[in-house]
This record gives sequence, structure tokens and C-alpha cells, in this order.
Amino acid sequence: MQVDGNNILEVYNTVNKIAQSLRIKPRPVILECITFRMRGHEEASGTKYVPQELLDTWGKKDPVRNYEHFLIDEGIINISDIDHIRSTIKEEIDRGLDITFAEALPQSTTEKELAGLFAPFSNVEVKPKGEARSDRRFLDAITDAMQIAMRKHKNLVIMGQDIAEYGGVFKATAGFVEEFGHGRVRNTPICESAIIGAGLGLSINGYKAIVEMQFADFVTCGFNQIINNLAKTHYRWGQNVDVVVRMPTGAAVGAGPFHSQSNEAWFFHTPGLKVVYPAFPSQAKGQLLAAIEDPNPVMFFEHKALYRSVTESIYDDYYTTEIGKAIVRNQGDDITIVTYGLGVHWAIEALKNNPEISADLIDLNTLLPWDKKCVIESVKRTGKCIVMHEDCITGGIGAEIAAVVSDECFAFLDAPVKRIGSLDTPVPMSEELEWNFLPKKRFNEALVELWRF
Amino acid sequence: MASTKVKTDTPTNGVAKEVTAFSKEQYLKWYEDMLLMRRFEERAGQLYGQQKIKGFCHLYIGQEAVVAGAMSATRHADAWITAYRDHAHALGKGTSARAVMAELYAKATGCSKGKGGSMHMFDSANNFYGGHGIVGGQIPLGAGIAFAEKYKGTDNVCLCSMGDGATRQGALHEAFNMAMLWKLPVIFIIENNNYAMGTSVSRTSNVTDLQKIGLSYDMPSASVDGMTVEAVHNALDIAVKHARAGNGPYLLEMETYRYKGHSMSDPAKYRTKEEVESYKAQDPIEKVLKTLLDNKWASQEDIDAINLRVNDVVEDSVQFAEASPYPDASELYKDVYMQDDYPYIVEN
Repeated sequence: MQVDGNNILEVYNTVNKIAQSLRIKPRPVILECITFRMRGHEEASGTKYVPQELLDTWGKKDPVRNYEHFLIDEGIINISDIDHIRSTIKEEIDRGLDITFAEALPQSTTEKELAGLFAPFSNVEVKPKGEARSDRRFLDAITDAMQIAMRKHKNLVIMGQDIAEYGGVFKATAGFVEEFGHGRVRNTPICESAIIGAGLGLSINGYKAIVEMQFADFVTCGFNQIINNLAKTHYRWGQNVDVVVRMPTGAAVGAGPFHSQSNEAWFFHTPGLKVVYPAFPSQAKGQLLAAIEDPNPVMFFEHKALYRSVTESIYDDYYTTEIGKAIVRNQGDDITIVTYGLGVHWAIEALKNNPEISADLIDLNTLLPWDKKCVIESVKRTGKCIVMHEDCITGGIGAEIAAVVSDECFAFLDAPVKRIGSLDTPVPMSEELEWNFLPKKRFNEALVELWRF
Repeated sequence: MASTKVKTDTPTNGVAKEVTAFSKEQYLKWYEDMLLMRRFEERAGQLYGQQKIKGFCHLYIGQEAVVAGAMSATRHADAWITAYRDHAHALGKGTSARAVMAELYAKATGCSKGKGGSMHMFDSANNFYGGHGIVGGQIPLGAGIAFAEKYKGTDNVCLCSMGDGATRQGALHEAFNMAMLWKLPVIFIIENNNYAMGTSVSRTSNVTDLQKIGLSYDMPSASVDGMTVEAVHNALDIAVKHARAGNGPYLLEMETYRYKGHSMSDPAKYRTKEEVESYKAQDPIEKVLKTLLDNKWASQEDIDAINLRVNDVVEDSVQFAEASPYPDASELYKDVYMQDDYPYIVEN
């Protein structure tokens, strides 16, 4: 639909008509209001590129002046009324300006600024009510968590490609559409940007959203929504961002360069996001339920290779685990291993193969915020630290951890902090190349070397 | 291509009409080309089941007329770029069955040196620019390749294929707008096989008549029977002439069907057996075979000989792939940048 955007009555009547119609039959409508800005794009840009005739033509269509004429013609007000309104408005603006100019510039503290980043959240673990447990694979734990959350939160919506009848590409939502219906288990077109942004829109308007990236690699198409909208909304106007973005991630499955990447570091560097990356089914369930409770945006990484390969006995009931808390998987005195995701399983295997090494194995579990206290205390005790992740080495999360450890534990260190990651290349498809790309073998060597140091 | 002169019905804003006026040689070539795609992929499917091929494997079986018809209507110098269901496109552009099979095997002799696999075929010598794993990601690239041809002053065009699922990506709309604005010689081809993985076209948009998307940008657009090679050829012929003449892009929606699941791990429960069978009844290869036999352009012996030849090519490609080495570890850092000293190791 098209209207004269400089005619307030035409705009009013049209919008009124559309709004009434939409209340009866909701649907999107495009309304094009033909108008003109008489100034530059913004006040520093000027209007050199606008022909004078255009400015003259549109100057005659000035919406305020034309409406004044209309009111006078209709006998609703007279010229002195208009002068009065104009001077009243001018006074109001001048008064506002005086107040603004008299205001001091904002003063703050670092603490105050950091505190505004996230919506308040009681990050306390909720214990399960019952003692019943079942053996669940990593994938089942994810499914369990979402199913329980969907029953608990009637305002929770899941969106993703083929998540309804198909059950999602990894079958994480198999059976959901039967229980919760298409309204809440929503198949979407292939449009990552739109569904992440719509998740935020739902949150603004009182809902919770889980958005499934079919593969974590595809998040690139929704990057703007995450970095510029999800991450900054609470900081800007105190609005909660109740969105969990599920990220099936990682290599070791021969899936080639666009279905295997580790991209947690992109989000680790973005204040305002939380980044969770569990390694075992019990944390997968507890962390995902906590993430759904959390009114802040959570990037939730799930390693594809763990989906069907790791099984654990976990509680059947609802429970949450603390976001930001690491788990010590093994206790020892010689060395501290810091890792997450699939790396935890590689480290467990390495320790099994090297029983002479007595190591603290720290599973970070959450990457943003990461558990500095746990890592620092451990390194102060062992005096040696190796950080390992599947992500490429340069600019990876390990660099941050190694820097903090060097800074905080310098006097306690008996060896340089060791950092192991994948090669700085895309993920190759061929099996042997992929295993050479991944850090598992290099980690085993470096672990023994550091232990001997 | 040795096609005889065809009557052209401008397919703008409508369905392209089928016209049959092609030579015997053309039909024989179509038959052999499509049969190779079909047999090659049937074998690839088997090998995937035997875990000789790893990672993902999206088969093109049923859609062969799109590649065959598009190839006969274009030149070798014309570029083609597509998404991840790309084995047949590579074969169509002239990549050897050996190089495609070896890539599926992740062997060093594969067309992407074994680093890409099924979804990432690439062969610039044959003007085939992949093989792209992210839905819709290749669409602006197709516009860019066409842009380069315009700069160079050639009359080559770029064929830019995508699935129906990709039409919901923002990149498509940005690229369509730009390509029309700059009148780039690119033919956008939607290979509409009705399902984005398991999601039918009608479940992703109100606009189920996909050629209409082009009309939003005033791009000449048409719907084509993608199960009939002649129709594909004719539609491409019109679109390519339009683009070569400097008139800008064209959108063709190929109405086609994949007989197999989205990938090898898809049981395809989202559609009925009857639906699959109804499309198999329109099989593009069977139709070409019928034309050959009805016109007595080929005897059963001729057909058998073609089948034998195609089977030999496929088996040869398997043996080649089996016998080929895996890429050496020294390949790991190669090609990340166009320089040899990456990862910037200074050797003393």
C-alpha cells in the first residue's frame, strides 16, 4: 500500500484501517509512505547531492505547514493559536536544552559498568527432586533437558530447520511436535539470521526461545543478530535476552570444512554472551536447563562426535548445574590440564595411557565466563599447566587462559604454560589429515614432555 | 552443442513450453551423460553404505536432466557454481569420474585433493567453481563470477545453482538485487526438488511458485519441467542468449525431484511412496531412451553398449580411487594462503 507520507490525515486513516483489519486477521502488511527528508542523512553529511528543485518541491509539501493550513481552513484553530503552540513548543525545547547542558557527563565505575552487562540471574544449582537415574547418551541428555523445559515453561518456543516431524538433523527434538505441537516446535526456512532475531523479538515480548543451528558452522549467516543484537540488548536498555542458540559443533566426523568447525572463540570475545560447552551428558542436561532459565543469551555448544558416543547415568528429573563452574574430572599433583568438550575425553584417555602422570584435569564446562578461580588454584598447587582445545590454536580460548595463568601464577610455575590446539587451517575432510589437524596426538606428546620438564 | 534450431517460446513469467527438435547425436549424448551421473551416484551410494566414502553424501539421482540440459545449452567456457549436491555438476562440466570418485574417497587424486569430499568438488580448469557446503552461500559468488566476465568483456555467462531451501536465505535477495542492478550475466537456477532436507517448499514460504521471487526484482523468470532434458535445454537457451546479449540475469526454476533422501542418513519419511513413484514414472533418462528407441536412432545393442561403457567408466573410477593414496600430512598447511611459507616457518 502507498500513501502520501507528508499528509498526516492520510497516514492516520490508512494506519488506522490497517490496524483494525490486522486485529481481526493478523498478517504482515507493507505500507510505503512517500516522503522526503529535508536535511542530510545525518547532521554532518549535508545535502550537496540533493538537487535544489527537489528540496523546493518537497518544501512546498511540508507536513506541518500543510496541516496548519488545513486546521485554519477547517476553522479548527486560528493564526494566533498556531503562534501560541509554536512558542510553547520552542520554550519546552529550550528548557530541555538548558537542563541537558547543565547536566554533568555520566560518571561510573568499572564495577558498575560490568554489572550492567547481564540481566540478574540466580545462578544456583537446583537439585533433582527424585533420585531416579537412567543411562543417557549426550544427545538424549539434550533432548531430556529441552523436553523438561518445554513442559515447565509454557512460553518456551524452539525454532530450527526440520526440527518438527524430522526431529532435527541429529534427532534432538524427535517426538517433540507430537507433544508440544507445531506452534512451539517450529520448523523454519533456512534463514539463521531471521530466526535468531525473531528469538530476541519473542524474548522482548515475554517468551523464551531456543534456536537450533543445524550445524554450528551455519551461525555465520546469523552473526549480526548475535553480536549486535543478542549480546548488547541488556547493556543498552536493560532488556532480558532469553535466547539459547544451540550449536552442534566440532570435527572428528569426516564432515569437511563447513560442517566441522569449532567457532566458540568468536563468541568468547563478545561481551554480553554466555558460552557453554559441556563434555558429559549430566552437564549437558544441567547446563542446558540452566541456560534456558538464564535471561541472558547463551551460545550452547554440543560436540557432534559426543552425541552418540558418551553415555552416563543421569538424573531423570529437572535439575540445573551452575553456569561458569568448571569440573575437576581427575585430581593430581604434577600438572594441571585445562580443556573442554571433546578435549576432556582426549585428556581422560591420555591420562589412562600414562598412569604415571598425576594430573588435575579441569573440564571448563562454561567458557564465558570461565572458572578462573578453579584453574588458578590448581596451577598454584601443581606448578605446571597445559591448555588444550579442538579449536585452531591462534587466537583460541587457550591463549586467554594461558595469559591469565602466566599472570596470576607466575611465581608458582615450574615450566612455561603449554598451549595445544588444532592447526591453523580449515578442517580437512580426509580422515588421516583430519586427525593430523586435530590436536589429540600433539597433546599426548606435549603432556608427557611437560610432565618431564 | 550440435542441437538443431529450436523454436523458442519466451518463458518470461510463465512455464517454458517443451519443444522437441534435437538431433540424434544430441539425444545419444544426453543419454550417456545422464546415465553416467546415475550409475556413478548409485555406486557412490553403495560405497557410502560400505563406509568406503565417509562424511556426508547427497545424491542427485532423479535430477540429471537439469545438468544435462544446462550443459548442452551452454559452453565449456561458461562457469557453473552450485551447492553441496554437486557430483553430477562436476561430471557435467567435464571433471573426470576418476577425480570425482577419488574426492569422495578423500584421496589425494581427488579434484579437491581429498580435503573437501562430497560437498566440495572444485575444478577451475573446467570452469566449475564448486561444491559449496553452506546453503545459499554460493549465490553471491555466482553473481561475482558473472561480474568478472562483464569486466573482461566476454560473452560468457555463469550458471548459479541452488536448491529450493536456499531461496529463503538473505544472500539470495541481496545477490538478486545487485545482479539486476548491474545487469550481470548470471543465470540463477533453482533446482526445486520440493524438499529442503525434510521441509517441503510450502512449509517454508507462502511463495511456492519459486520463479516469482525473481519477479520481485523485475528479473525475467520462468518455471521449467526439470524432469525433461529438452525443456531444460530450451529454457537455458533463452536465458543464456538473454544474458550473453548483456541484458542481465535470468531466473529458472527447475521443477525436479530427488529419488533418494536428502543425504544418505535420511530415511525420507516426510513424503509418500506414491509421490516418489509418480516422479520415477517421469524419469528423465527413461524418456530420452524412449525417444532414441522410438525414432530408431539406437538399437538395443547400441544402448547396451552405452551401458557397458558407462559401467566401465564408473568401475574404473572406483578402482582408481581405491588405488590412490590418501593425502600426505605435508598437504595440511598447503593452500591455506597463496604463499608457500605458511605457517610462516622461518627455516635456518
